[in-house]
Amino acid sequence: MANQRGGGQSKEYDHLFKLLIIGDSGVGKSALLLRFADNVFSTNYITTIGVDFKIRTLVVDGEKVKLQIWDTAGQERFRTITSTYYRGTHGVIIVYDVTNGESFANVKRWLHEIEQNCDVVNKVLVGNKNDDPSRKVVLTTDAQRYADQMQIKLYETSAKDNINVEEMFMSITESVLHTKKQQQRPDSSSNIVQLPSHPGYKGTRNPKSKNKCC
Amino acid sequence: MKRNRPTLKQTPRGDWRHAIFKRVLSPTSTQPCSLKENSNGGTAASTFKLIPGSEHKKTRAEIRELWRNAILQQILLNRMDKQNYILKAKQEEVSGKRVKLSYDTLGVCDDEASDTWDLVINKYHNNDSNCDLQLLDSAILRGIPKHKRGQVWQFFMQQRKHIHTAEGTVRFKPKKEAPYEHLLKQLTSHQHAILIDLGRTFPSHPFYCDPLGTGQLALFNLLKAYSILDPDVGYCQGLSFVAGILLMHFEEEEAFSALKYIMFDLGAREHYKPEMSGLQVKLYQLTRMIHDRDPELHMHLDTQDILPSLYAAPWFLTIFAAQFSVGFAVRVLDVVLLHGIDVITRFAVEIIVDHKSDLKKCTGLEQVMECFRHVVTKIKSDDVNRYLRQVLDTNSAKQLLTYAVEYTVMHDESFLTFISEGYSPPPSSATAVKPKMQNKPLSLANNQCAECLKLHVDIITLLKYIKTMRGACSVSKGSVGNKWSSHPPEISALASKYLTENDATEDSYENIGTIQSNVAALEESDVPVRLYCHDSQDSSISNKHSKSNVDIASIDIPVLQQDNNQNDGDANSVAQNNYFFY
Repeated sequence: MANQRGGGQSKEYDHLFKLLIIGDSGVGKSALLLRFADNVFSTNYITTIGVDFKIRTLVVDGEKVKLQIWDTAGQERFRTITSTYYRGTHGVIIVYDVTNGESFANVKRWLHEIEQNCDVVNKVLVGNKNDDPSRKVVLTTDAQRYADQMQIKLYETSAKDNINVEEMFMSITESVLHTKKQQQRPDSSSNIVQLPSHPGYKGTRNPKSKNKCC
Repeated sequence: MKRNRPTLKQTPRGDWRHAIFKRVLSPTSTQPCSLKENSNGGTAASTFKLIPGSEHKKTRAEIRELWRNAILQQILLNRMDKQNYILKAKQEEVSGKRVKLSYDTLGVCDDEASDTWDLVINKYHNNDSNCDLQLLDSAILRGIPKHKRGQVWQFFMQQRKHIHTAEGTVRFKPKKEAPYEHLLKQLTSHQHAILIDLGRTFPSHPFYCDPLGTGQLALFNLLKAYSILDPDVGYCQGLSFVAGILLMHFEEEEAFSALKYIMFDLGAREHYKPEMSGLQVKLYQLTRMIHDRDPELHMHLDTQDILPSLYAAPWFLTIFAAQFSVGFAVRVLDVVLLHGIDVITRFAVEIIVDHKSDLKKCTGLEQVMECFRHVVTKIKSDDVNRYLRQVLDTNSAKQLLTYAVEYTVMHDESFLTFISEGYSPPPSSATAVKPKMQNKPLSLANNQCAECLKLHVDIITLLKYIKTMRGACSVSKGSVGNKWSSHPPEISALASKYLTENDATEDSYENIGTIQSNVAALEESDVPVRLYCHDSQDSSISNKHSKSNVDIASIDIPVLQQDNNQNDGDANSVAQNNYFFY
């Protein structure tokens, strides 16, 4: 699958999806995003205060998909700010740290947060920092059991060693695209969506209908 | 040489005496004793090697003289050792300070400015009188040399405390004035949160870059102590940057009292409390100030959905330290420490307005945010001086207060409950500014707003209902009235309330038609519904009920916003308040 890094320049795409990365503070949300969008890993990264986003365009099944991926601050009190950005989200990436049991225990609260702020949304559970077996405390079997129970896909990634990051983002993009197509099918009367070819599209208000949340 | 040792060992108690004695003896002989070697802690053993084997008999007086010399020289050596040690410690301190202060200064700071600070501090240091604020302002403009910054900041804090004590407006103090070292001995529940942020605070600054090095440990201590002192705030991300800036200029304990000053005396802790109410007020003030300065720019940002929470939250929470250069952040802090926390808002406004042409060139959220990230944050020396002059010269205290009150009024709890159906509403907002709204005109405004809000709640209920019914029924002009009667009682009640109140059924039906088409457009364009509320100063608020047609029509979608505003003729007041409804 071809892809285009450092997106933002490309205005031509078939789909625009908004993804949101949530999870406890310090689990590596920004690192995952940096790895996926710019293919770098940096230890010189500052704390995310509030929200931030990055763009990358992928090609899925021959269709250009532009991803607007929002990174959020993990500290609980920032939810007053970050909850605004759940709106219009197509997919949510819930991240925990495989070396930190508490961050896994908090996944439940993050799922609840999604429930409160979104209607229908694709989700993926991500155990990051999966690069040092000696430090791993959240076992794959436990995480998988929980993911199955919640009917979410699980990925164990490492932004540092670039393990599974691409696959995980690809997976959520595919499920979002799948959902969109499924929703389009029964309503045959709705036309093919016209996407603006000029840069003046309305920011996060993406010009596609129905598979939004909130 | 070997012959000497056994003789020395025979008198073990006199070992060191002999060492001294012989060392002093040696210069008289062929081989001078190396002072350097001794001062570096050369042992007695190494000294013996230098002693020649001269063993002629000496008179009592000679020996006495030699001893005296030996003792004097040893005293001298000890003193020099001590001096060396002090010198070394000083050097270490200076180099440590250099590491701490390794940031690029912005703006000029000439020797004259440096002298001014010395003069001012010396003059006012030991007396309780206040220094002329204008004098200080002009000195701030000329810059503070970074090695004096800590001292000057301390002086500012004293000055401000004097002023406030004199005016009787002392802000709340921490309940417990626990000493720093006591706090350090305790444990904090925020330990994990603080620890994971240590490596993410000024990661490229030499003082903080070593994992658990001196800088990071000092940062940990400071943040930990604060989190124990102020459990309401605990630790909030962003604080580490403020603490980091302070530690660059102060020792730990001084930095701690400076942090306490910023948080309690200046009231910054409202920004960091779990509900972040103070921050919300600041962000609202910023929106309003931008609108006042440049309505066009405000519109531009607004139509792209760019909220201040997106770009300015870190500005407030880190006092510009996270995204801007440290050189800029310290110059803002210069003014903050003397004039209070509102200075951040004023700087933010200046920065944004200064970059209006760059921002206006950008279209779309991505471009604008790119500009905010990479263009706006690059502040040059000239810019700093211009912003400083603007901030120091203009007094926007009244304006800011008005907007703070406005926020409180509009952020009424009943309204919050409605807007935030989805998430749990933060508890009562902006307690700090609440007392100020106890005067008559404001409570009047409050009532008016409450009325207005009630109306909007009704409208939203109606709209939501219409939205859900859309598709199921298409409302034709003639059958609207009948349709309402078959809807749930609350909807029917609402419908009849507004339809009869207006007593212009024909018009109302047309309006409902408009809403329908708007909702349809909304569905198609997939944009969030935005609700506009008129300015609280708008006299038309009290007439809202009779004007409900207009209000219904003004619940609009942003795509149609421009057209609507042109018709409305009141675009400004509409735009001013739409900040709330995200």
